[in-house]
Amino acid sequence: MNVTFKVIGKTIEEVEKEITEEKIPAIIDRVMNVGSSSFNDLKNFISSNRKREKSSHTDTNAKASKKALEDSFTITEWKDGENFGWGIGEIAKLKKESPHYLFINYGGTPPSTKDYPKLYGHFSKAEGGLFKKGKPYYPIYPTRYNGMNYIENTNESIRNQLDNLFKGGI
Amino acid sequence: MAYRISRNFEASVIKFLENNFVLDWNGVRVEKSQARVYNGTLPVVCVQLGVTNYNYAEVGSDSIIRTPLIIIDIYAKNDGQRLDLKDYIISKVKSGMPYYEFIIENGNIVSQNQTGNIMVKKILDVPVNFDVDKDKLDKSNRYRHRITLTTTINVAE
Repeated sequence: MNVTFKVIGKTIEEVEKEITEEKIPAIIDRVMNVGSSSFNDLKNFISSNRKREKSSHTDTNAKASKKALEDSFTITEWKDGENFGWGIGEIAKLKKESPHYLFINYGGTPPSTKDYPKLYGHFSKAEGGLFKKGKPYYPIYPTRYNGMNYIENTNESIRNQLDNLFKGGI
Repeated sequence: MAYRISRNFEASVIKFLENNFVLDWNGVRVEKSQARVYNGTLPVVCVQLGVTNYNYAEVGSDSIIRTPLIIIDIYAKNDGQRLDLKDYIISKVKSGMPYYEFIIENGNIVSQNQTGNIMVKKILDVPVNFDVDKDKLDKSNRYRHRITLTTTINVAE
């Protein structure tokens, strides 16, 4: 059996030569655009998979510091000479505003009744299913999330965009 | 009724894992929804289909090749089992697996034909850490691990 290797496309050295000074800003823009487009993908994904009305998160009372999950995500971009990049989601902000963000992603039951044993109240249908302190007292069943997998799905979208970033040439 | 491609992907991975567990590791359940994970004993492996990316097969053609994301969640009894199951699954899936087309009637599989192979392009495994003390979590969620597979059958549609 004869095997013939045929080189198609370009070598790394040839690609390197193509990256001239004037092309660098456009390359940076393309990479930065992956960030903003992935950020939008993430928000859209969460928004289209949500189970409760978004308005229920922006209600008054105890939920004032909490936000709808997609609104707790931020994108941080930086450009500093040759260094540039972006990141999606600040852990401290997510923990504060959407403390169940990991349970929503992976699925599971967040600890609640054990941590707050004196929380008595009911779920109000009139207010988008929000928990209300006070009478009438109904038994509290732990919330079990089915995993939304928004982290993995967004990660896959980023990978796909990066794989295709320079397919049309530099 | 014949399953379409996405359901065939999911069902093929489930069948592959079930067949391997029967041979090598008794007592591991394989489920396709998280709701069913909690109705039974540990350990459990849950298989779900995530997003699917589509890329055009070639310039000037409208043929596409899909790359679905397969999400495999492990719910183990303890930390050691979690790691062993994770490594076991990776050792099995890394070489790919058969792709079947299933025919279903009244919820039961009436026929299955292997029409291709699922190629695994990328593997990622992460421990699921909820950042909460384990004794505050219910048993099923204490020792979890997630494997994600970027797959394809390399068939232009």
